[in-house]
Amino acid sequence: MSRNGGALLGALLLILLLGGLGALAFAAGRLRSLAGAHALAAALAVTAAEAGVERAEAAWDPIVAGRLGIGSSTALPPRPAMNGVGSQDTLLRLGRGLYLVRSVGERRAADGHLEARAGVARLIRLEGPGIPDSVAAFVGGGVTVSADSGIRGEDAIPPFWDSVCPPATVPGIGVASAPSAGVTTLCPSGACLTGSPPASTDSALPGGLFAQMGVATPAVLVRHAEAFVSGVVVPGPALAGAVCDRQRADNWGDPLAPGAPCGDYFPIIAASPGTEVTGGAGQGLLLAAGSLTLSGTSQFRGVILALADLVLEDDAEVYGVVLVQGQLLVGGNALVQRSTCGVRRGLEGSARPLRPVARGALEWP
Amino acid sequence: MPIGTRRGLTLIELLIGIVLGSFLGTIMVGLGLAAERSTRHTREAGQLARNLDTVLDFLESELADAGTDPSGADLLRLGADSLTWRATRGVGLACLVGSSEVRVLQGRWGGARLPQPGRDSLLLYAGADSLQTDSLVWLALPILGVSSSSCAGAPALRLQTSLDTTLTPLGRLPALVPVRVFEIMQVRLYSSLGSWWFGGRSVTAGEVIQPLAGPFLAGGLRFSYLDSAAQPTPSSGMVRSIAVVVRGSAAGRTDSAAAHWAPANLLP
Repeated sequence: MSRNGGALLGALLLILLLGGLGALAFAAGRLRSLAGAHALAAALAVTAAEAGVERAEAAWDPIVAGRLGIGSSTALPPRPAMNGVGSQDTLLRLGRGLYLVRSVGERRAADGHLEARAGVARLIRLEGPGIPDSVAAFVGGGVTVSADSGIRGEDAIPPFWDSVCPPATVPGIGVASAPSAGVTTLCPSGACLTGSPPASTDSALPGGLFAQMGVATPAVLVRHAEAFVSGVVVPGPALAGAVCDRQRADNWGDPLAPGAPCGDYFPIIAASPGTEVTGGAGQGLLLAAGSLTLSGTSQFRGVILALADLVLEDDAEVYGVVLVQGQLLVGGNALVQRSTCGVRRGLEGSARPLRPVARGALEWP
Repeated sequence: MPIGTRRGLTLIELLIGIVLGSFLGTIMVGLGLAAERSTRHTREAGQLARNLDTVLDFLESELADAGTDPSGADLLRLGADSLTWRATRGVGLACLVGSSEVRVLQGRWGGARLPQPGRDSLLLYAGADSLQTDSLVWLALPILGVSSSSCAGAPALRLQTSLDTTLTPLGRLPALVPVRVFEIMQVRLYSSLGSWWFGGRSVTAGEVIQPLAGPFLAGGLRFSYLDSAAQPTPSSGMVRSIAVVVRGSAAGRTDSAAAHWAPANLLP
C-alpha cells in the first residue's frame, strides 16, 4: 500500500523553522553580547585614562615637573595593567606654571590584542602664593638696619644662579612697611637701605598680605610643607644615593649648585617659633609661625614669611623677599637682597596645590 | 467494478480529520501569531532601548567637554526639550598666537576632523602663564580660514582669526597655548510624519534638523539643568549637571530611560 504522508516533511520543516529561529536568536544574543563587551571595554579604557590623570595629579612630583623644559614632555612612571586595563601617562609643560597631563587608557584581551583605547587630558596650573616681587621686605612692625648690613631694593641674581635666571629687572622698593611702623637706619645717610624708593608705607599692611597671599593662606601652605623644623638648624643638601633625599627635614635644596640633584628642590619649610638657622643654605618658601633668626653664614633663596620678628645677623643672606609681621632686625653683615628670580624660583618650585583650570578636562583622542 | 480494491475514508474519519486538522491549525496559527507578536514586541522594545541608548550616548559624548568659566558657558540655550551648546570638535596646542592667526601644531592636534571656517570657532586659553594671577578665561574667536603652515619646522594648522591683542596681551600667554575647536550644535524633539524624533543639527553650519533616534512619544524628551545644590537652574553659567529623560512606546507599552551626569568641566 502506498502512502503519501506529509508528517515527515512537516516535521523537518518545523525543525528547520525552529532551528532558524534559534539561530537568529543566538545571533542576536551574540551581537548584543559583543556590543556589551565592546561598550564595557570602551568604558574601562576611559576609566583607565581618567584614573591615569588622577594618579598623575595625586603623585605630582615638583622636581620632575620643575625640570621639564617648556614645550617638553615626559612619560610618567607606568603602573602595571590590571585585568588587561592600563594607561600610559604623559606630562607636558606648556608654560611656567601650566602643564598638560595626558593619559591614554587601554583595555586588552587575554591574548593581548587591543579591545579599546581612549585618551583624556587635563590642564593643570601650579598655584603659588601671591607674593609681590617688587619689594625686598614687607614689614608690619618696625625695621632696624645697622651699619654694615643692608636691605637692597635693586633686583639681583643670587650667586651661582646666572645660568638659571633672566637678567635682573628694574629697581624695586627696599622696605614697604605699615604706616605706623618706624624705619631706623643706623648707617651714614641711610646707605644700608636702598631701593627706589628705599622705603615706603603700605596702608594694606600689616593686614592682608600676611594672612592671605593671593589664593593661599599660611595654614594652607603649612599643610603642604615638606619640612618641619624647630630649635637650631643648619640646612644643607642631602642625597639618598644619587638622588635628592627629600625625607630629611634639614634638606632645603641646594641653592649653591642649581645643577646638582637638590638644585631643583624648593621645599616649603614650616618653622616653629624661635627657630634659629645658624648656618648652611636653603631655598624655597620658609614659613615661621613665630620669630625666626638667621645667623652665621646662613643663606636662603626664595621667600621668608615670619608671623612675628625676623632677625638677621652675622653674615646671613636672603635673596628674594621677606615678609615680616613683627619687627625686622638686620645687623652685623647681614643682607636682605631683593631678587625677582629668587622669588619666582622659590615659589615655582614650592608651588602647591595644583589648581584645576576651567574647561581643563579634554577628550583627547 | 470489484468491491474492496479501493477503500475510501468514511464520513466519520473525514470529520475527525477535519476537526483535528482545524484544531491543530488553530493552535499553529495561534502559536504563530503569538510568536509574531512576541517577535515584534521584542524587536520594537529592542529598538526603543537602542533609541534611548543612542540619545543618552550621544548627549553624554557631545557634552563631555562642556564647561564654563568667567568668559561664558558652553551650554548656550537651555530648553525643556532642546539644548544648544558648543560642541568640541578638536583640541590642540598652539605654538603661535597673533592678532590674525593661531597656529596649532599638527602633532598636538586631536580631533575627528579638521577645523572648518565658518562652521567652527576657536576657544583659546588666555589664562596668564603666572603662578599668582587668577584670570582663567578662554576666548572665543572666529575661524576665518584654515591652511597649512609650520612652527619652527614642525607642521602646523594655520587658523586665520581676529584677536584683539590690546585686550589679551600675547606676552603673558604660555609657550604652548591650549585651544579647542567647536561648533554650535542643537538637539531637540521634533515632529515629522506623525511621529516624534530626537534630532540634531549644526547651528553654525545652518543645517536642517536630522533625525538621530526615534520615534518617541510626544513630550518624550525632557532636560533638567541642576546647579551645585542639585536644584534646577535657568542660568547656563550655574549648571553643574544635566538630567535627561526620554520616553517612547513599543507594542503598546511605554518605556523610558534616564541619565544624570556631570561633565568634568562643569564641576566646581
